[in-house]
Amino acid sequence: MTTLTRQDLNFGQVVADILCEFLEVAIHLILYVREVYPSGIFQKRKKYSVPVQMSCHPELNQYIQDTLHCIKPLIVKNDAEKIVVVIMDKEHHPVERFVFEMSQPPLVSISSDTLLSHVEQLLRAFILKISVCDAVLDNNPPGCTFTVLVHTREAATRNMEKIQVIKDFPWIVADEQEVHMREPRLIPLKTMTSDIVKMQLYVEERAQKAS
Amino acid sequence: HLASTNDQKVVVMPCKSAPSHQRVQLWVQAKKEYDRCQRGG
Repeated sequence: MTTLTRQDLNFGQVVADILCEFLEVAIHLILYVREVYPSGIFQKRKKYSVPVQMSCHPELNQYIQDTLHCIKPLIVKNDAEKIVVVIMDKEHHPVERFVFEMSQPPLVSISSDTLLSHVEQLLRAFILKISVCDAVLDNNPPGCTFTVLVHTREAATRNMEKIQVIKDFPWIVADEQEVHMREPRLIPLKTMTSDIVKMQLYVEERAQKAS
Repeated sequence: HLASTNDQKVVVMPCKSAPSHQRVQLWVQAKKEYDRCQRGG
């Protein structure tokens, strides 16, 4: 049995790998459930022992992969406070924001075997909540698109710069328009506390979705 | 460069946009047509 501690060089990398894999599944599922893209691009797969819908559109899949590839160094260093999947209307105004708020708690020591099975159970619960969240959300207007926002610190973005250049996937500071939503309705979806990460997911929904 | 000497909170996003719904819809139609041709051929 392997025991990992925060001091281990690869601990942050292990956490980032787990979270980025989860975020990839979550983003695909959000795009499917909220009908951002046609259902014809999605295929049923099994992740965390539950069925999920994953896109088979090469450009979209690459976009999501590139996004997460750039975010990963921030997660490794525990520098990503919030990762937000923003669904925007045709005028690029946010209609829904899926907010993943995360922090890595101080750690004494954990066993990798316990860690993986426990974390998988917790992440499965998030996936199940996302898959049924359309029941508590209003329909989105047609022609929506999405982006991903990362709440971090300026110094931390230096970790991203090299990878941005390599991937030819530059990042910019978000406009106020993308960051804030006026008088959103707040819908808590799920909270988890584990040895490696604390995470909560909630949705902010715009009151009047029709433009 | 996104970073500066003041380590303040910042919100960043990809410069590139995700593929539009319309663009993806066209891809779906083209794929359907291709699959139909493959089956017919």
